[in-house]
Amino acid sequence: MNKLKKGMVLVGALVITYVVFKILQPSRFGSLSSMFILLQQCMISVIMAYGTYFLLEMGAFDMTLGANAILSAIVGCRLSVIFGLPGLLIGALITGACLGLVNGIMTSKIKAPSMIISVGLVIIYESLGLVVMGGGSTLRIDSQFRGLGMAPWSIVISLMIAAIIFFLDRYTCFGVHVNAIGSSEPIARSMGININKTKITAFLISGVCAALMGVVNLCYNTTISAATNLSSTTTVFQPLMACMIGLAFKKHMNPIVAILLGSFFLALLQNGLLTNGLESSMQNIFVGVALLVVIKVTSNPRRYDVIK
Amino acid sequence: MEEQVMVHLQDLHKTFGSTKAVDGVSLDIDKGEIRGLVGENGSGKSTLMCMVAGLLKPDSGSMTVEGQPYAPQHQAHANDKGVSMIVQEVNTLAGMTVAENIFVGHEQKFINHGLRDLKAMFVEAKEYLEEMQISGINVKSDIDAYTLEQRKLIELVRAAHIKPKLLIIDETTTVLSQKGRAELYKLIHKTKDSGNSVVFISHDLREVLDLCDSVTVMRDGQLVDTVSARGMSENDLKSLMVGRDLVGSYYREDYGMLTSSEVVLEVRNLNCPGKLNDVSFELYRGEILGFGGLSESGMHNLGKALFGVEYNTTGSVTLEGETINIHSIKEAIKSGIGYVPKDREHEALINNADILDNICITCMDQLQKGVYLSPIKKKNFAREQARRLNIKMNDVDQFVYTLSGGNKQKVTLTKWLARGANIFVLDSPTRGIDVMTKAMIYDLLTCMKNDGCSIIVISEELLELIGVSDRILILKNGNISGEFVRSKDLSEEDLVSCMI
Repeated sequence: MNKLKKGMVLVGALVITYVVFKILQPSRFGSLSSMFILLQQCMISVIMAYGTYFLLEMGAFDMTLGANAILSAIVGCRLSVIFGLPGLLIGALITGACLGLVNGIMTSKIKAPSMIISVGLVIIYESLGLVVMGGGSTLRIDSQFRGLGMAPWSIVISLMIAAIIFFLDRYTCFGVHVNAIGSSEPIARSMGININKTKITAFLISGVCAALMGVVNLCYNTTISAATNLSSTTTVFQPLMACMIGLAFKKHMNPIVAILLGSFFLALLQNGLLTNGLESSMQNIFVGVALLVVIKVTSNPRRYDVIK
Repeated sequence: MEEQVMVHLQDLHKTFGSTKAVDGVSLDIDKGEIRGLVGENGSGKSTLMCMVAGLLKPDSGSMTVEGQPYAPQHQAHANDKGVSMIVQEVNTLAGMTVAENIFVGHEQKFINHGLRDLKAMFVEAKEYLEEMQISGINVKSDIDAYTLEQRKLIELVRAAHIKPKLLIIDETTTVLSQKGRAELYKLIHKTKDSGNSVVFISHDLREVLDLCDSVTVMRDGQLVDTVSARGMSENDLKSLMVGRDLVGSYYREDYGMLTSSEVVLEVRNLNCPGKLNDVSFELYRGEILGFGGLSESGMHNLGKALFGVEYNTTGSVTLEGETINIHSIKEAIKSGIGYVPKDREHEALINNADILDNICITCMDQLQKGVYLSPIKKKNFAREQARRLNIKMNDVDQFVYTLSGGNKQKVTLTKWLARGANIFVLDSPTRGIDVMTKAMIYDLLTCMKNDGCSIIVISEELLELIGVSDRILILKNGNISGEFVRSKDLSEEDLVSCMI
């Protein structure tokens, strides 16, 4: 009963957000068509959120996701000119996988917080993006690939990723090992779980997802330009927040569903604030506060377990 | 003859820092035998068995199981070789289901065409629970939903499901109720009847004698003796465990000295769910008050509670007539309480800061002028303070993690001395410390006492308590179970009888 109730918090938050904005801006907010556009955008960013799920569960952060998405999309875009669709997809995914692998290996070899290591790597990947770009400031994808970024394909792709993550989480040893490491790394190690291997695999998955998100996003926006000065990290936060919401609700509902709901909740909130004419800095304050509230409502740590 | 031996340990060594936890132990455990393993806290029995179960790697020495060389890499590996252990601490993984906890490290068993067969896992976990007649546990539920005892029983199932050749049970009975104990005993006898062996570690000597065929006694990391349980009495075992005389000059030698009758600290009805029950006592000026008990008796929590670090405490602490907030560390420090925790590495020191900062951290308010904190003043202050306890260092800018255990402890003490605290709560002050520093700390305690400081010493070492305390309170299951006044005739047996 309690489980269901807590799970409903998220759905409730969605409904309340919608209703409040609808009342505030009955004509400008919440039409079916605008909700559909919102859903499409949210479906793209949720790919990245799913990718980072296993990492976040183990307490690892990958700030390179944004840079990875851009670099992979640039590589894919250039290859698509020569090889068409296979070039676009395979080129991007292999790039993403390689970057993920590098992240994973670096994190397991350098004994420092993954957050810091990955910020170092972001600088490298962003610059690599500039190099692969060649001279121009933006790349344009051929219009024949645009469908990939639109419904139904974008939705199909993200649902596919959702299914794969769900499957890995529930039906493979990998999923159990991630859970175990997230719960207690020392105990997991003593049970013979290979910590490094599990972490590197998780980074690999997040790399591939980031690349896929990059491609879909490129097809949706039609153009891409390289990022500099860590600007790519801003794209990481929304998926990261969606994923945190997913993890916060893990006990009460399926995290894969929760991530999707969380992602949509954040998009809805931002869209609603935008239609109410709030400037972007104010929007971000609201989004940040909303995230904190949601997590506070759901997290109820057993304090006596913390200190022995 | 050789077929008789299930597990053979040859000259095992394990050192933690400067402490020899296990020092050259060789041991045979026969097939179909229930072996008790007893010794004081810190005698190395848990460390020894953790090495057998693959939780720790021995520094040197070798092991065999049924004559085959055996060097477990981790717990799951040990399980494959037929050795499983139930450890003292809670060892379940939060946020995972009961079934996942039972089979963690053995998931391979349920992989079917690359898929995890959840149904089979749940069914098998349920069978194990039913086989051991443990009811009221849903294998699909999150493990957090269950109490400590239930989680321990789940660990029991985890240890038993591999049908171990050697089952090690470390200090598990204390958290189990009568019913849970019955299950545990059943499991032990079943293991014995199938020709396998059990090692049973407990402080409850009566239980050990009732249950075991033979008992091995350890002291200071070494084997004392292995005796048959038949015809042994608890007292015989105790004297084997203790087995040494008081070392005179090491501790204080004054007896019958009068302490002041002025109450400095008055504790009334201190409660902490599951850890402390209505603990009340007084601390007098210039008194060294010892607290003893088993490690889970609540005495370590008591120290934390007095300093405001423990959660969920209720009750009152009155300091020289003024009631202080027992949830505020800040107030405790302000009132002149200094606390030296048991876990020096994690709770007492900032390891990646220098000695200077570690010492000055308690005295910032005294050192700063307005908002300005003079580095020179800080350095001089730290140097002066460090000299008081003769900390072995190059200079105060040396990092704390480079120091030995004894010197780290000196830094911890210095930071409270520097602040001018007058009530000290010292939890296991000589744990893992070399003999020289130990003697120095004992001298320091006497000095502090003479200066009018009041000191609470919480220790698992009974000799230490007898040696330094003016008065000793024994805790058992969160209650005060005995009080002893300093006397020449006080023996460890007296204290132990109140502890267990």
